[in-house]
Amino acid sequence: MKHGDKAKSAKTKASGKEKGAKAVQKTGAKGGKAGETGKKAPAPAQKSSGAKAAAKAPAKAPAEKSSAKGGGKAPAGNGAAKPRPAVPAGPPGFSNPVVANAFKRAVKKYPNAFRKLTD
Amino acid sequence: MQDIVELHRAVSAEFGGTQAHPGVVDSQFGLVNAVQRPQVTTLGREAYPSFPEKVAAFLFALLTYSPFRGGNRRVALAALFAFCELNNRTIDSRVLDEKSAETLFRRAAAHREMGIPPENVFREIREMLSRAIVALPS
Repeated sequence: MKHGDKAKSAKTKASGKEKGAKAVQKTGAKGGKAGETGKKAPAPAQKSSGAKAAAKAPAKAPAEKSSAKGGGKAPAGNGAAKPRPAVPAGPPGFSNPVVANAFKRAVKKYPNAFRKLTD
Repeated sequence: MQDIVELHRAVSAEFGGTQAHPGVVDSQFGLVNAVQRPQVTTLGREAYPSFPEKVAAFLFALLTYSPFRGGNRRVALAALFAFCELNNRTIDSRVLDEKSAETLFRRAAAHREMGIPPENVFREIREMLSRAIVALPS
């Protein structure tokens, strides 16, 4: 039976190694510690997620900085923060500028009539 | 046609509220009929020879047919200005003030329900516009 126990423990070790190997494949260099014991495998995975988060954080920080600096002076080559085109003020699209002016004038002259004339 | 639909979009966006239907045409026939009304000829003669008559005919048709889904009277008021300014004219707001414009448009739109003969409403619009339309100051 002892031999069986040893075999089991060998299997668990082997599985632990396999998990560790998977963890190594997933997490990269730091996951190598997971190969020592099977049960300790999740902890390095957490570490690796933390590492991922840490890897993501510096990537976000420059973007925030660039947006904070923001405005029209964003670097052109970056592509992360392009200056947005100015939103056109006034009524939406008129193909004829005379009609657009007429609409503006009508709204200016008869604002209450426009509000009260409901269908 | 396109200008009127754009006017309806603009009016609905600005005053339509949450239940607006910007640019939604319920009756294409009514819209085309209203736009073409000033050009009508009868036995080779213009049915509406003067400019105020043409504007009145256009407005009356627009208000009668109600081609849009909501906002027909507002569009008619905006279209009045657009029609005049496209022809180098404008509306004198001292003659056609807000209250009288509102009343006139309400009466024209609901003349059937009110039991007013259409020719009376048309005459009312024509007479008001003949006084209110002035040349656009340069």
